[in-house]
Amino acid sequence: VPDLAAVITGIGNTAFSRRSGRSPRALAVEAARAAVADAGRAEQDVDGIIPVGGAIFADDLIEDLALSRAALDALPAPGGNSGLGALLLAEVLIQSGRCHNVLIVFARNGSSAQRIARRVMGLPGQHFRSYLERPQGWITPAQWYAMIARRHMIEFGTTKGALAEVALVMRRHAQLNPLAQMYGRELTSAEYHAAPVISDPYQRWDCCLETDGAVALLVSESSSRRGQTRDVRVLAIESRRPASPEDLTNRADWFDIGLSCAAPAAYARAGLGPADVDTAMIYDCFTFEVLHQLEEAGFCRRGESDAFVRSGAIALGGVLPVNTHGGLLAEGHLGGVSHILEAVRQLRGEANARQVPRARVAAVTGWGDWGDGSMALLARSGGRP
Amino acid sequence: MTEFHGAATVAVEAPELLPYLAAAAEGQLVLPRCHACGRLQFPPRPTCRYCRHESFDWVETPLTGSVYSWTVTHRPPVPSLADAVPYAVVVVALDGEDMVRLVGRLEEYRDGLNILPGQRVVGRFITAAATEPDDYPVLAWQLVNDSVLPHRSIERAVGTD
Repeated sequence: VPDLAAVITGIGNTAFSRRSGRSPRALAVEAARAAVADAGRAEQDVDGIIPVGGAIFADDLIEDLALSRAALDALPAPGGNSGLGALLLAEVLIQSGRCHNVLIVFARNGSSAQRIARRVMGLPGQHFRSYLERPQGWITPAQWYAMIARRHMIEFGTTKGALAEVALVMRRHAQLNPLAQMYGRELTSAEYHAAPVISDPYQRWDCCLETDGAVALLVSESSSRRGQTRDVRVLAIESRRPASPEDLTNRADWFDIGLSCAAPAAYARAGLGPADVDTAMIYDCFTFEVLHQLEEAGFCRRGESDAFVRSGAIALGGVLPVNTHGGLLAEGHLGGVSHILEAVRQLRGEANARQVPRARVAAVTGWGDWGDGSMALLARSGGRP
Repeated sequence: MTEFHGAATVAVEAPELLPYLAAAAEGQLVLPRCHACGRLQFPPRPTCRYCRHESFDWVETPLTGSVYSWTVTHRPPVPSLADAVPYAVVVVALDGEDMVRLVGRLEEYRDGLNILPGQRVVGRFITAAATEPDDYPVLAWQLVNDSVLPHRSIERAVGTD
Protein backbone atom coordinates (compact mmCIF):
# COMPACT_ATOMS: atom_id res chain seq x y z
CA VAL A 1 0.00 0.00 0.00
CA PRO A 2 1.49 3.36 -1.03
CA ASP A 3 2.23 6.04 1.54
CA LEU A 4 -0.65 8.19 0.32
CA ALA A 5 -3.31 5.53 0.82
CA ALA A 6 -6.90 6.58 0.23
CA VAL A 7 -9.39 6.25 3.05
CA ILE A 8 -13.13 6.86 3.08
CA THR A 9 -13.68 9.40 5.83
CA GLY A 10 -17.34 10.33 5.42
CA ILE A 11 -20.62 9.14 3.95
CA GLY A 12 -23.99 10.84 3.48
CA ASN A 13 -27.33 10.28 1.84
CA THR A 14 -30.83 11.63 1.30
CA ALA A 15 -34.03 9.68 1.63
CA PHE A 16 -34.71 7.39 -1.35
CA SER A 17 -38.07 7.61 -3.08
CA ARG A 18 -39.96 7.24 -6.33
CA ARG A 19 -40.63 10.96 -6.51
CA SER A 20 -38.39 13.32 -4.57
CA GLY A 21 -40.02 16.55 -5.67
CA ARG A 22 -36.58 18.12 -5.44
CA SER A 23 -33.89 18.87 -8.00
CA PRO A 24 -30.84 16.61 -8.32
CA ARG A 25 -28.80 19.65 -7.21
CA ALA A 26 -30.79 19.96 -4.00
CA LEU A 27 -30.44 16.23 -3.35
CA ALA A 28 -26.69 16.47 -4.00
CA VAL A 29 -26.33 19.32 -1.51
CA GLU A 30 -27.98 17.31 1.26
CA ALA A 31 -25.90 14.15 0.69
CA ALA A 32 -22.63 16.05 0.17
CA ARG A 33 -23.04 18.17 3.32
CA ALA A 34 -23.78 15.02 5.32
CA ALA A 35 -20.67 13.25 3.98
CA VAL A 36 -18.36 16.19 4.68
CA ALA A 37 -19.78 16.58 8.20
CA ASP A 38 -19.51 12.83 8.83
CA ALA A 39 -15.80 13.12 7.94
CA GLY A 40 -15.34 15.94 10.41
CA ARG A 41 -14.26 18.25 7.59
CA ALA A 42 -15.46 21.50 6.14
CA GLU A 43 -16.63 22.22 2.59
CA GLN A 44 -13.52 24.31 1.91
CA ASP A 45 -11.34 21.23 2.53
CA VAL A 46 -12.72 19.62 -0.64
CA ASP A 47 -10.19 19.89 -3.48
CA GLY A 48 -11.48 17.15 -5.78
CA ILE A 49 -15.01 16.61 -7.11
CA ILE A 50 -16.43 13.54 -8.87
CA PRO A 51 -20.09 13.87 -9.86
CA VAL A 52 -21.76 10.57 -10.81
CA GLY A 53 -25.03 9.69 -12.53
CA GLY A 54 -25.20 12.29 -15.27
CA ALA A 55 -27.60 14.73 -13.62
CA ILE A 56 -25.19 17.07 -11.80
CA PHE A 57 -21.85 18.68 -12.55
CA ALA A 58 -18.94 19.94 -10.48
CA ASP A 59 -20.13 23.46 -11.36
CA ASP A 60 -23.38 22.88 -9.45
CA LEU A 61 -21.54 21.68 -6.35
CA ILE A 62 -18.97 24.50 -6.48
CA GLU A 63 -21.77 27.05 -6.54
CA ASP A 64 -24.18 25.42 -4.11
CA LEU A 65 -21.59 24.45 -1.48
CA ALA A 66 -19.07 27.26 -2.09
CA LEU A 67 -16.43 24.65 -2.92
CA SER A 68 -13.03 25.77 -4.11
CA ARG A 69 -13.00 26.92 -7.72
CA ALA A 70 -9.54 25.36 -7.92
CA ALA A 71 -10.94 21.90 -7.21
CA LEU A 72 -10.07 19.24 -9.78
CA ASP A 73 -12.98 17.36 -11.24
CA ALA A 74 -13.05 13.94 -12.89
CA LEU A 75 -15.82 12.00 -14.59
CA PRO A 76 -16.01 8.20 -14.61
CA ALA A 77 -17.45 6.55 -17.72
CA PRO A 78 -21.26 6.47 -17.51
CA GLY A 79 -23.18 3.31 -16.63
CA GLY A 80 -23.35 0.94 -13.72
CA ASN A 81 -19.61 0.77 -13.27
CA SER A 82 -19.44 4.52 -12.61
CA GLY A 83 -19.75 4.25 -8.82
CA LEU A 84 -16.59 2.23 -8.40
CA GLY A 85 -15.09 4.13 -11.32
CA ALA A 86 -15.49 7.24 -9.20
CA LEU A 87 -13.78 5.60 -6.22
CA LEU A 88 -10.90 4.53 -8.44
CA LEU A 89 -10.48 8.08 -9.78
CA ALA A 90 -10.61 9.43 -6.22
CA GLU A 91 -7.85 7.04 -5.19
CA VAL A 92 -5.73 8.14 -8.15
CA LEU A 93 -6.24 11.83 -7.28
CA ILE A 94 -5.29 11.18 -3.65
CA GLN A 95 -2.28 9.03 -4.48
CA SER A 96 -1.00 11.56 -6.99
CA GLY A 97 -0.79 14.08 -4.18
CA ARG A 98 -2.87 16.61 -6.12
CA CYS A 99 -5.95 16.16 -3.93
CA HIS A 100 -6.45 15.63 -0.22
CA ASN A 101 -10.24 15.35 0.04
CA VAL A 102 -12.23 14.14 -2.94
CA LEU A 103 -16.00 14.42 -2.84
CA ILE A 104 -17.97 11.79 -4.79
CA VAL A 105 -21.64 12.65 -5.24
CA PHE A 106 -24.29 10.59 -6.99
CA ALA A 107 -27.58 12.47 -7.38
CA ARG A 108 -30.43 11.76 -9.75
CA ASN A 109 -34.18 11.59 -10.09
CA GLY A 110 -33.90 8.18 -11.72
CA SER A 111 -37.55 7.39 -11.11
CA SER A 112 -39.47 10.62 -11.60
CA ALA A 113 -37.24 12.11 -14.32
CA GLN A 114 -34.84 10.30 -16.63
CA ARG A 115 -35.48 6.57 -16.39
CA ILE A 116 -33.31 3.72 -17.58
CA ALA A 117 -34.60 3.38 -21.16
CA ARG A 118 -33.44 6.96 -21.80
CA ARG A 119 -30.25 6.81 -19.75
CA VAL A 120 -28.81 3.93 -21.76
CA MET A 121 -28.90 6.13 -24.88
CA GLY A 122 -25.79 7.81 -23.43
CA LEU A 123 -23.73 4.62 -23.27
CA PRO A 124 -21.01 3.54 -25.74
CA GLY A 125 -21.73 1.56 -28.91
CA GLN A 126 -24.85 3.51 -29.90
CA HIS A 127 -24.40 2.70 -33.61
CA PHE A 128 -24.84 -0.98 -32.89
CA ARG A 129 -27.80 -0.22 -30.65
CA SER A 130 -29.47 2.11 -33.19
CA TYR A 131 -29.10 0.09 -36.36
CA LEU A 132 -28.66 -3.53 -35.30
CA GLU A 133 -30.48 -4.00 -32.01
CA ARG A 134 -33.28 -1.50 -31.32
CA PRO A 135 -34.99 -2.23 -34.67
CA GLN A 136 -35.30 -5.86 -33.48
CA GLY A 137 -36.98 -4.71 -30.26
CA TRP A 138 -33.85 -5.44 -28.17
CA ILE A 139 -33.65 -2.14 -26.32
CA THR A 140 -33.39 -2.18 -22.54
CA PRO A 141 -30.87 -3.60 -20.04
CA ALA A 142 -33.56 -6.00 -18.75
CA GLN A 143 -33.68 -7.50 -22.25
CA TRP A 144 -29.89 -7.52 -22.71
CA TYR A 145 -29.11 -9.21 -19.42
CA ALA A 146 -32.05 -11.62 -19.72
CA MET A 147 -30.24 -12.90 -22.81
CA ILE A 148 -27.09 -13.56 -20.74
CA ALA A 149 -29.09 -15.17 -17.94
CA ARG A 150 -30.75 -17.52 -20.44
CA ARG A 151 -27.37 -18.53 -21.85
CA HIS A 152 -26.13 -19.31 -18.32
CA MET A 153 -29.21 -21.51 -17.82
CA ILE A 154 -28.39 -23.30 -21.09
CA GLU A 155 -24.72 -23.87 -20.30
CA PHE A 156 -24.88 -24.57 -16.55
CA GLY A 157 -28.46 -25.53 -15.75
CA THR A 158 -28.94 -22.45 -13.57
CA THR A 159 -32.51 -22.27 -12.30
CA LYS A 160 -35.20 -19.70 -11.78
CA GLY A 161 -35.10 -20.74 -8.14
CA ALA A 162 -31.64 -19.24 -7.79
CA LEU A 163 -32.85 -15.94 -9.26
CA ALA A 164 -35.72 -16.03 -6.77
CA GLU A 165 -33.30 -16.60 -3.89
CA VAL A 166 -31.36 -13.46 -4.81
CA ALA A 167 -34.54 -11.36 -5.00
CA LEU A 168 -35.93 -12.73 -1.74
CA VAL A 169 -32.68 -12.28 0.20
CA MET A 170 -32.29 -8.69 -1.01
CA ARG A 171 -35.85 -7.97 0.07
CA ARG A 172 -35.33 -9.58 3.48
CA HIS A 173 -32.20 -7.50 4.03
CA ALA A 174 -34.12 -4.36 3.11
CA GLN A 175 -36.51 -5.06 6.00
CA LEU A 176 -33.56 -4.26 8.30
CA ASN A 177 -32.78 -0.97 6.52
CA PRO A 178 -35.22 1.89 7.24
CA LEU A 179 -33.66 3.81 4.34
CA ALA A 180 -34.67 1.16 1.78
CA GLN A 181 -37.48 1.86 -0.67
CA MET A 182 -38.80 -1.62 0.11
CA TYR A 183 -38.56 -1.24 3.90
CA GLY A 184 -41.80 -2.54 5.36
CA ARG A 185 -42.70 -4.32 2.13
CA GLU A 186 -41.88 -7.99 2.44
CA LEU A 187 -41.85 -10.30 -0.56
CA THR A 188 -42.92 -13.93 -0.48
CA SER A 189 -41.78 -16.61 -2.87
CA ALA A 190 -45.33 -16.89 -4.21
CA GLU A 191 -45.47 -13.15 -4.88
CA TYR A 192 -42.08 -13.26 -6.59
CA HIS A 193 -43.16 -16.03 -8.97
CA ALA A 194 -46.57 -14.46 -9.65
CA ALA A 195 -45.18 -11.05 -10.66
CA PRO A 196 -45.52 -9.87 -14.27
CA VAL A 197 -42.89 -11.02 -16.76
CA ILE A 198 -40.69 -8.19 -18.01
CA SER A 199 -38.39 -10.09 -20.37
CA ASP A 200 -38.01 -13.72 -19.45
CA PRO A 201 -36.45 -15.11 -17.31
CA TYR A 202 -36.82 -11.69 -15.66
CA GLN A 203 -40.02 -10.84 -13.84
CA ARG A 204 -40.78 -7.69 -11.92
CA TRP A 205 -38.70 -8.49 -8.84
CA ASP A 206 -35.68 -9.66 -10.81
CA CYS A 207 -35.26 -6.02 -11.85
CA CYS A 208 -33.85 -3.25 -9.69
CA LEU A 209 -35.83 -0.25 -8.54
CA GLU A 210 -35.88 3.18 -10.15
CA THR A 211 -34.95 5.72 -7.53
CA ASP A 212 -34.82 9.43 -6.77
CA GLY A 213 -32.08 10.29 -4.30
CA ALA A 214 -28.45 11.11 -3.62
CA VAL A 215 -25.49 9.50 -1.87
CA ALA A 216 -22.04 10.94 -1.28
CA LEU A 217 -18.70 10.00 0.18
CA LEU A 218 -15.52 11.83 1.02
CA VAL A 219 -12.25 10.11 0.13
CA SER A 220 -9.19 11.49 1.89
CA GLU A 221 -5.49 10.77 2.23
CA SER A 222 -4.80 8.52 5.18
CA SER A 223 -1.57 10.08 6.36
CA SER A 224 -3.27 13.05 7.97
CA ARG A 225 -5.56 11.00 10.18
CA ARG A 226 -3.73 7.93 11.34
CA GLY A 227 -5.56 5.95 13.96
CA GLN A 228 -9.04 7.21 13.10
CA THR A 229 -11.05 4.03 13.57
CA ARG A 230 -14.08 5.21 11.60
CA ASP A 231 -11.94 5.65 8.51
CA VAL A 232 -12.24 2.83 5.98
CA ARG A 233 -9.15 1.98 3.97
CA VAL A 234 -9.22 1.32 0.25
CA LEU A 235 -6.97 -1.74 0.14
CA ALA A 236 -7.35 -2.16 -3.61
CA ILE A 237 -9.61 -1.09 -6.41
CA GLU A 238 -9.38 -2.39 -9.97
CA SER A 239 -11.59 -1.89 -13.00
CA ARG A 240 -11.52 -3.66 -16.36
CA ARG A 241 -13.50 -3.82 -19.57
CA PRO A 242 -14.45 -7.12 -21.21
CA ALA A 243 -13.38 -8.18 -24.71
CA SER A 244 -15.43 -6.28 -27.33
CA PRO A 245 -16.60 -3.85 -24.64
CA GLU A 246 -19.19 -2.21 -26.90
CA ASP A 247 -20.79 -5.43 -28.19
CA LEU A 248 -22.06 -8.48 -26.32
CA THR A 249 -23.55 -10.54 -29.14
CA ASN A 250 -20.28 -11.54 -30.80
CA ARG A 251 -18.16 -11.85 -27.66
CA ALA A 252 -16.69 -15.36 -27.61
CA ASP A 253 -17.50 -16.00 -23.94
CA TRP A 254 -20.46 -14.12 -22.49
CA PHE A 255 -19.40 -14.92 -18.93
CA ASP A 256 -15.89 -13.53 -19.23
CA ILE A 257 -16.44 -9.94 -18.09
CA GLY A 258 -14.40 -7.05 -16.74
CA LEU A 259 -14.75 -8.40 -13.22
CA SER A 260 -13.14 -11.71 -14.31
CA CYS A 261 -9.84 -9.78 -14.55
CA ALA A 262 -10.52 -6.98 -12.05
CA ALA A 263 -11.15 -9.33 -9.12
CA PRO A 264 -7.86 -11.29 -9.31
CA ALA A 265 -5.99 -7.99 -9.75
CA ALA A 266 -7.68 -6.51 -6.67
CA TYR A 267 -7.00 -9.60 -4.56
CA ALA A 268 -3.35 -9.60 -5.65
CA ARG A 269 -2.89 -5.93 -4.80
CA ALA A 270 -4.49 -6.36 -1.38
CA GLY A 271 -2.72 -9.64 -0.64
CA LEU A 272 -6.09 -11.24 0.01
CA GLY A 273 -8.35 -13.86 -1.50
CA PRO A 274 -12.11 -14.40 -1.73
CA ALA A 275 -12.08 -16.35 1.56
CA ASP A 276 -10.86 -13.23 3.40
CA VAL A 277 -13.98 -11.26 2.45
CA ASP A 278 -16.54 -10.99 5.26
CA THR A 279 -19.34 -9.31 3.30
CA ALA A 280 -19.83 -8.37 -0.35
CA MET A 281 -21.83 -5.62 -2.00
CA ILE A 282 -22.54 -6.94 -5.49
CA TYR A 283 -23.92 -4.65 -8.21
CA ASP A 284 -27.41 -6.09 -8.49
CA CYS A 285 -29.15 -4.37 -11.38
CA PHE A 286 -30.82 -7.75 -12.03
CA THR A 287 -30.89 -10.98 -10.06
CA PHE A 288 -28.78 -12.99 -12.50
CA GLU A 289 -26.02 -10.40 -12.47
CA VAL A 290 -25.49 -11.22 -8.78
CA LEU A 291 -24.98 -14.91 -9.67
CA HIS A 292 -22.71 -13.97 -12.57
CA GLN A 293 -20.51 -11.70 -10.44
CA LEU A 294 -20.34 -14.12 -7.48
CA GLU A 295 -18.71 -16.53 -9.93
CA GLU A 296 -16.38 -14.10 -11.63
CA ALA A 297 -15.32 -12.53 -8.31
CA GLY A 298 -14.20 -15.96 -7.17
CA PHE A 299 -16.74 -16.48 -4.38
CA CYS A 300 -17.78 -19.70 -6.12
CA ARG A 301 -16.73 -21.43 -9.31
CA ARG A 302 -18.23 -20.63 -12.69
CA GLY A 303 -21.52 -22.46 -13.08
CA GLU A 304 -21.88 -23.06 -9.33
CA SER A 305 -23.62 -19.87 -8.21
CA ASP A 306 -27.01 -21.59 -8.27
CA ALA A 307 -26.00 -24.05 -5.55
CA PHE A 308 -24.01 -21.35 -3.71
CA VAL A 309 -26.96 -18.97 -3.23
CA ARG A 310 -29.42 -21.80 -2.55
CA SER A 311 -27.19 -22.96 0.31
CA GLY A 312 -28.07 -19.74 2.12
CA ALA A 313 -24.59 -18.29 1.58
CA ILE A 314 -25.60 -14.74 0.62
CA ALA A 315 -28.10 -14.06 3.41
CA LEU A 316 -27.17 -12.45 6.73
CA GLY A 317 -25.82 -15.33 8.82
CA GLY A 318 -24.48 -17.08 5.71
CA VAL A 319 -20.84 -17.47 4.72
CA LEU A 320 -20.92 -14.32 2.55
CA PRO A 321 -23.72 -11.87 3.38
CA VAL A 322 -24.42 -9.95 0.16
CA ASN A 323 -26.01 -6.49 -0.11
CA THR A 324 -27.02 -6.20 3.52
CA HIS A 325 -28.76 -2.89 2.69
CA GLY A 326 -31.03 -4.59 0.13
CA GLY A 327 -29.06 -3.46 -2.91
CA LEU A 328 -30.40 -1.95 -6.09
CA LEU A 329 -33.15 -4.56 -5.99
CA ALA A 330 -34.66 -3.46 -2.67
CA GLU A 331 -32.90 -0.40 -1.24
CA GLY A 332 -32.83 1.57 -4.48
CA HIS A 333 -30.76 2.33 -7.56
CA LEU A 334 -28.11 4.81 -6.46
CA GLY A 335 -25.67 3.80 -9.17
CA GLY A 336 -23.70 1.44 -6.98
CA VAL A 337 -22.30 4.30 -4.87
CA SER A 338 -24.77 3.12 -2.23
CA HIS A 339 -22.92 -0.22 -2.20
CA ILE A 340 -19.76 1.58 -1.10
CA LEU A 341 -21.73 3.33 1.66
CA GLU A 342 -23.06 0.04 2.99
CA ALA A 343 -19.57 -1.48 3.00
CA VAL A 344 -18.39 1.52 5.04
CA ARG A 345 -21.25 1.10 7.53
CA GLN A 346 -20.43 -2.60 7.93
CA LEU A 347 -16.71 -2.00 8.45
CA ARG A 348 -17.36 0.79 10.95
CA GLY A 349 -19.73 -1.48 12.85
CA GLU A 350 -22.57 0.98 12.23
CA ALA A 351 -24.96 -1.27 10.31
CA ASN A 352 -27.31 -1.72 13.27
CA ALA A 353 -29.78 -4.61 12.91
CA ARG A 354 -28.03 -5.87 9.80
CA GLN A 355 -24.46 -5.74 11.14
CA VAL A 356 -22.23 -8.58 10.00
CA PRO A 357 -20.36 -9.63 13.18
CA ARG A 358 -16.63 -8.83 13.13
CA ALA A 359 -16.72 -7.55 9.55
CA ARG A 360 -13.13 -6.60 8.72
CA VAL A 361 -12.92 -6.84 4.93
CA ALA A 362 -15.68 -5.94 2.48
CA ALA A 363 -15.72 -6.39 -1.28
CA VAL A 364 -17.72 -4.10 -3.55
CA THR A 365 -18.30 -4.83 -7.23
CA GLY A 366 -19.42 -2.72 -10.15
CA TRP A 367 -21.10 -3.89 -13.35
CA GLY A 368 -22.04 -1.69 -16.25
CA ASP A 369 -23.01 -1.60 -19.90
CA TRP A 370 -21.94 -4.82 -21.64
CA GLY A 371 -19.74 -6.15 -18.85
CA ASP A 372 -17.51 -3.35 -17.56
CA GLY A 373 -16.55 -4.55 -14.13
CA SER A 374 -14.67 -3.58 -11.03
CA MET A 375 -13.86 -4.67 -7.52
CA ALA A 376 -12.90 -2.69 -4.45
CA LEU A 377 -11.55 -4.30 -1.30
CA LEU A 378 -12.13 -2.16 1.77
CA ALA A 379 -11.05 -2.70 5.37
CA ARG A 380 -11.47 -1.23 8.81
CA SER A 381 -8.75 1.27 9.51
CA GLY A 382 -7.67 -0.19 12.84
CA GLY A 383 -7.75 -3.90 12.13
CA ARG A 384 -6.27 -6.55 9.92
CA PRO A 385 -4.98 -6.67 7.26
CA MET B 1 -24.86 1.44 -53.35
CA THR B 2 -28.56 0.78 -53.05
CA GLU B 3 -30.53 3.61 -51.54
CA PHE B 4 -32.83 2.83 -48.64
CA HIS B 5 -34.70 5.05 -46.26
CA GLY B 6 -32.19 6.40 -43.75
CA ALA B 7 -29.15 5.59 -45.90
CA ALA B 8 -27.99 9.20 -45.89
CA THR B 9 -28.05 9.25 -42.07
CA VAL B 10 -26.19 5.96 -41.83
CA ALA B 11 -23.59 7.20 -44.33
CA VAL B 12 -22.80 10.09 -42.00
CA GLU B 13 -23.26 8.50 -38.57
CA ALA B 14 -22.17 4.89 -39.06
CA PRO B 15 -20.59 4.39 -42.52
CA GLU B 16 -19.12 1.03 -41.45
CA LEU B 17 -22.69 -0.33 -41.29
CA LEU B 18 -23.81 0.97 -44.69
CA PRO B 19 -22.94 -2.08 -46.85
CA TYR B 20 -24.64 -4.39 -44.35
CA LEU B 21 -27.81 -2.30 -44.12
CA ALA B 22 -27.98 -1.67 -47.87
CA ALA B 23 -27.78 -5.40 -48.58
CA ALA B 24 -30.30 -6.09 -45.82
CA ALA B 25 -32.72 -3.68 -47.47
CA GLU B 26 -32.40 -5.92 -50.55
CA GLY B 27 -33.02 -9.00 -48.42
CA GLN B 28 -29.44 -10.28 -48.33
CA LEU B 29 -26.92 -10.83 -45.55
CA VAL B 30 -23.41 -9.62 -46.25
CA LEU B 31 -20.60 -9.82 -43.70
CA PRO B 32 -17.29 -7.97 -43.66
CA ARG B 33 -14.23 -10.13 -44.44
CA CYS B 34 -10.84 -8.71 -43.54
CA HIS B 35 -8.57 -8.11 -46.53
CA ALA B 36 -5.52 -9.03 -44.48
CA CYS B 37 -6.46 -12.08 -42.39
CA GLY B 38 -9.53 -13.19 -44.34
CA ARG B 39 -11.80 -13.71 -41.36
CA LEU B 40 -15.52 -12.99 -41.44
CA GLN B 41 -16.81 -10.98 -38.52
CA PHE B 42 -19.64 -8.97 -37.05
CA PRO B 43 -20.57 -6.25 -36.20
CA PRO B 44 -18.78 -4.07 -38.78
CA ARG B 45 -16.09 -1.84 -37.26
CA PRO B 46 -13.34 0.44 -38.63
CA THR B 47 -10.72 -2.25 -37.95
CA CYS B 48 -10.64 -6.06 -38.04
CA ARG B 49 -11.41 -7.54 -34.63
CA TYR B 50 -8.66 -10.13 -35.12
CA CYS B 51 -5.74 -8.26 -36.75
CA ARG B 52 -6.85 -4.57 -36.71
CA HIS B 53 -6.41 -4.22 -40.48
CA GLU B 54 -8.55 -1.42 -41.90
CA SER B 55 -10.14 -2.75 -45.09
CA PHE B 56 -12.77 -5.34 -45.84
CA ASP B 57 -14.71 -6.89 -48.64
CA TRP B 58 -18.29 -7.99 -48.18
CA VAL B 59 -19.36 -11.60 -48.53
CA GLU B 60 -22.91 -12.77 -49.13
CA THR B 61 -23.76 -15.34 -46.47
CA PRO B 62 -26.77 -17.65 -46.00
CA LEU B 63 -29.19 -16.73 -43.23
CA THR B 64 -29.18 -20.07 -41.44
CA GLY B 65 -28.03 -20.88 -37.94
CA SER B 66 -28.97 -22.11 -34.50
CA VAL B 67 -30.43 -20.51 -31.39
CA TYR B 68 -27.66 -19.36 -29.01
CA SER B 69 -29.90 -17.55 -26.52
CA TRP B 70 -33.25 -15.81 -26.39
CA THR B 71 -35.61 -13.72 -24.30
CA VAL B 72 -39.36 -13.30 -24.59
CA THR B 73 -40.37 -9.72 -23.83
CA HIS B 74 -43.78 -9.19 -22.26
CA ARG B 75 -43.51 -5.60 -21.07
CA PRO B 76 -43.13 -3.14 -23.98
CA PRO B 77 -39.69 -1.54 -23.69
CA VAL B 78 -40.95 1.50 -25.62
CA PRO B 79 -44.53 2.67 -26.23
CA SER B 80 -44.31 1.94 -29.97
CA LEU B 81 -44.01 -1.79 -29.17
CA ALA B 82 -47.15 -1.89 -26.98
CA ASP B 83 -49.04 -3.95 -29.56
CA ALA B 84 -46.08 -6.21 -30.38
CA VAL B 85 -45.72 -7.99 -27.02
CA PRO B 86 -45.12 -10.75 -26.26
CA TYR B 87 -42.30 -11.17 -28.74
CA ALA B 88 -39.09 -13.20 -28.77
CA VAL B 89 -35.63 -11.82 -29.51
CA VAL B 90 -33.05 -14.46 -30.36
CA VAL B 91 -29.29 -14.45 -30.73
CA VAL B 92 -28.40 -16.84 -33.54
CA ALA B 93 -25.02 -18.48 -34.13
CA LEU B 94 -24.57 -18.49 -37.89
CA ASP B 95 -23.90 -21.80 -39.64
CA GLY B 96 -20.30 -22.42 -40.55
CA GLU B 97 -18.98 -19.21 -38.98
CA ASP B 98 -17.49 -20.02 -35.61
CA MET B 99 -17.71 -16.44 -34.34
CA VAL B 100 -20.59 -14.68 -36.04
CA ARG B 101 -23.82 -14.21 -34.14
CA LEU B 102 -26.78 -12.08 -35.17
CA VAL B 103 -29.63 -10.76 -33.05
CA GLY B 104 -33.15 -10.73 -34.47
CA ARG B 105 -36.84 -11.25 -33.86
CA LEU B 106 -38.39 -14.69 -33.88
CA GLU B 107 -41.13 -14.58 -36.49
CA GLU B 108 -44.57 -15.89 -35.64
CA TYR B 109 -43.79 -16.12 -31.94
CA ARG B 110 -46.85 -17.03 -29.94
CA ASP B 111 -47.20 -17.15 -26.18
CA GLY B 112 -45.99 -20.47 -24.82
CA LEU B 113 -43.99 -21.45 -27.90
CA ASN B 114 -41.16 -23.73 -26.83
CA ILE B 115 -37.79 -22.35 -27.92
CA LEU B 116 -34.82 -24.66 -27.41
CA PRO B 117 -31.09 -24.02 -27.35
CA GLY B 118 -29.41 -25.09 -30.56
CA GLN B 119 -32.70 -25.15 -32.45
CA ARG B 120 -32.18 -24.50 -36.17
CA VAL B 121 -33.47 -21.26 -37.65
CA VAL B 122 -33.66 -19.60 -41.06
CA GLY B 123 -33.81 -15.85 -41.39
CA ARG B 124 -34.99 -13.08 -43.67
CA PHE B 125 -34.89 -9.31 -43.61
CA ILE B 126 -38.14 -7.42 -43.35
CA THR B 127 -39.04 -3.80 -42.74
CA ALA B 128 -41.26 -3.61 -39.70
CA ALA B 129 -43.58 -0.72 -39.00
CA ALA B 130 -43.29 -0.58 -35.25
CA THR B 131 -39.56 -0.27 -34.64
CA GLU B 132 -37.28 2.42 -33.34
CA PRO B 133 -35.89 3.90 -35.45
CA ASP B 134 -38.46 3.14 -38.16
CA ASP B 135 -37.60 1.65 -41.50
CA TYR B 136 -34.30 -0.05 -40.75
CA PRO B 137 -34.34 -3.70 -41.75
CA VAL B 138 -35.40 -6.19 -39.11
CA LEU B 139 -33.84 -9.62 -39.10
CA ALA B 140 -36.68 -12.10 -38.66
CA TRP B 141 -35.87 -15.72 -37.81
CA GLN B 142 -38.12 -18.73 -38.14
CA LEU B 143 -37.72 -21.97 -36.19
CA VAL B 144 -37.06 -25.07 -38.28
CA ASN B 145 -39.01 -27.73 -36.43
CA ASP B 146 -37.55 -30.99 -35.12
CA SER B 147 -34.00 -29.85 -35.50
CA VAL B 148 -32.53 -29.49 -32.04
CA LEU B 149 -28.77 -29.94 -31.90
CA PRO B 150 -27.43 -32.07 -29.04
CA HIS B 151 -26.06 -29.87 -26.25
CA ARG B 152 -22.38 -30.70 -26.84
CA SER B 153 -22.70 -29.76 -30.50
CA ILE B 154 -23.75 -26.29 -29.42
CA GLU B 155 -20.55 -25.87 -27.47
CA ARG B 156 -18.43 -26.98 -30.41
CA ALA B 157 -20.27 -24.64 -32.74
CA VAL B 158 -19.62 -21.74 -30.38
CA GLY B 159 -15.86 -22.18 -30.34
CA THR B 160 -13.43 -19.74 -28.78
CA ASP B 161 -11.12 -17.04 -29.95
